[in-house]
Amino acid sequence: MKRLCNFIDGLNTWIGRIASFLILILVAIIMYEVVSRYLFDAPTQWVNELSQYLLTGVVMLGGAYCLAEYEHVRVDILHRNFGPRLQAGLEVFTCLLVLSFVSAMVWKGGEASFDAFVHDTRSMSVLEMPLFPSMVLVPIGAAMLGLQSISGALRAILRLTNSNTDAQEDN
Amino acid sequence: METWLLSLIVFASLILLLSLGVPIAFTLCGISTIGIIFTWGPKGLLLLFNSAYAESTSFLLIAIPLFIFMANQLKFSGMGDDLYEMVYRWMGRVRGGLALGTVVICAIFAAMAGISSVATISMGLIALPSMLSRGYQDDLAVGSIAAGGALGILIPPSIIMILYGAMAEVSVGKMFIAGVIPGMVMCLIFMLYIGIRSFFNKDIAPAIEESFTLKEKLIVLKGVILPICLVFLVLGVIYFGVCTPTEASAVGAFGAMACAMFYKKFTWRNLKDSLWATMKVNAMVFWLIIGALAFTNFLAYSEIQDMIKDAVLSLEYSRWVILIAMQLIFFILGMFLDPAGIIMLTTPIFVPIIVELGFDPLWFGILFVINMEMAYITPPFGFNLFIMKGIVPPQISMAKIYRAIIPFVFLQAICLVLVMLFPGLATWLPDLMITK
Repeated sequence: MKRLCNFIDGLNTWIGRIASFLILILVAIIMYEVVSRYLFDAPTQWVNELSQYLLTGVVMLGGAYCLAEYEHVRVDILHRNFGPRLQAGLEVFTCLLVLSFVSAMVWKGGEASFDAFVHDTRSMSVLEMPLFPSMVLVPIGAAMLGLQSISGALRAILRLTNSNTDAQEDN
Repeated sequence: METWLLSLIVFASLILLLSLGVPIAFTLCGISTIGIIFTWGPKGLLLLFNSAYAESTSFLLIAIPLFIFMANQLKFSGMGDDLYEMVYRWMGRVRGGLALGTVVICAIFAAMAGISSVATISMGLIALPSMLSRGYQDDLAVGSIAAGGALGILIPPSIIMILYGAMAEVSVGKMFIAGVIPGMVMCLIFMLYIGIRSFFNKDIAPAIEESFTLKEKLIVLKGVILPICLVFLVLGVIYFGVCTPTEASAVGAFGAMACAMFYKKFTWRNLKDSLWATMKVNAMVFWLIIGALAFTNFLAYSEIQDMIKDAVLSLEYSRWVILIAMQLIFFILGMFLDPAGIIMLTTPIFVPIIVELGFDPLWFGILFVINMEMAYITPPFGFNLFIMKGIVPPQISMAKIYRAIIPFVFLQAICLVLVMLFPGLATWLPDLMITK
């Protein structure tokens, strides 16, 4: 059980960390656009569109990483004073809530990207880039987020059972 | 189901989940999902995917990760040390000079970074120990850093302004430029307060004895050149219509990396740390946006939005009463919630009302941002106060930080009232802009 949690955490963390280098690519190509437009009077046609798809990667592949390190903003006035049982219960409840919208996104997003793949839907621009690769990132990112919240809930339950059986060994 | 009953259930569960400590983004997404299934049926769920995909392919919103990355690069660059050294040599001999200079440095950082934590952390680490060891009263030192740091969201660039612009459909470039004068006004109000207090009470901020030759003073000026260039680069390209805010953010991020190279802080470790930190904060902000958009769509579809709007508009009060009531709501929410969360919760409901009442949404945005500055430093849950608590020496308690910050909250309220009475402070400069 614990190994499963560690695996999910590790997977999401490393996907998030590797995807963070997309930010550097974003900076580079947008700089390239600005320079080529103003210095060489040769605006590109691909930068705007490509950078939008890169953003999808940055956003979608980072959500679970953010959750793995507990960085989603929350109001913790009451939360920090809760007992361990209540906190674990809340963690499980949050997980169910997350699963509700994550499964909706995986379902509808999967359908939409499958359609885009089968019909080879392309963007309405000069470039006619295929929409499938960026679309499918949404269900993937959502699934990662769902897995991460399951891992969080499992950990909370494990903490609870561990502290019941062995009060010495916290954490 | 009756709309009023539905909205009662929606807002009651919203408040319940938020106060239990469920992350704001997940609360919004979850309530919208369940609400959509309930009012619209499963076919409405495509909306969730659509809002997520639309927001994460928005060209405007690319500015968010890039400005966050720029701020993180600046944090590592060590620029703060040079700026503080300049303040020390030039203003140290004036009573209160170090605190005055710290506010100025915070304003410069604010003009480079889109978030408020960079200035607060840098100055908390550099200026605070220096001021305390030279006999500055801790109230004044802590207050000026925490309040000065909050300038980050009012002086452009500003993540909060991008969020407001995207939600309220106001030009982000104009929002940025509109923040310049109110930001300077607030900076001046802080400085007047510090100056007057240290002039009349010579014990709270003593002048330092050490003196420097003209040559020593001039040589530190080189530390300001780079930051000032970066400020004018980012704001200049927006003001003169050379770049969109998104392109300006890439220019700024590039400039910040160049600065880090200049200070020889551009190492692999700093780069990956700032990329990783950016990734997390960015994902947090975007999931908030996705949640808020889903929630807005749900409110609109279930006609809750119209119901609230009609109810407020049918009130027999003057439109100013409604405006002031909204500011009070912002202030109260600011005591508990993060500004990005407040923007996402309130804009969909407040901005249509504001437009209907005949107010300028650009000006309302600036009022909102000033109010959110207060949120950063208002006890009990001001974000900057927690950052300060993490930095200050242990003998300064949280209660002491709370006491130190209260005068500054009043000063910010004065600035809010000024911009409310004289809308020109916010709208004059953007009206002069070359492009829209």
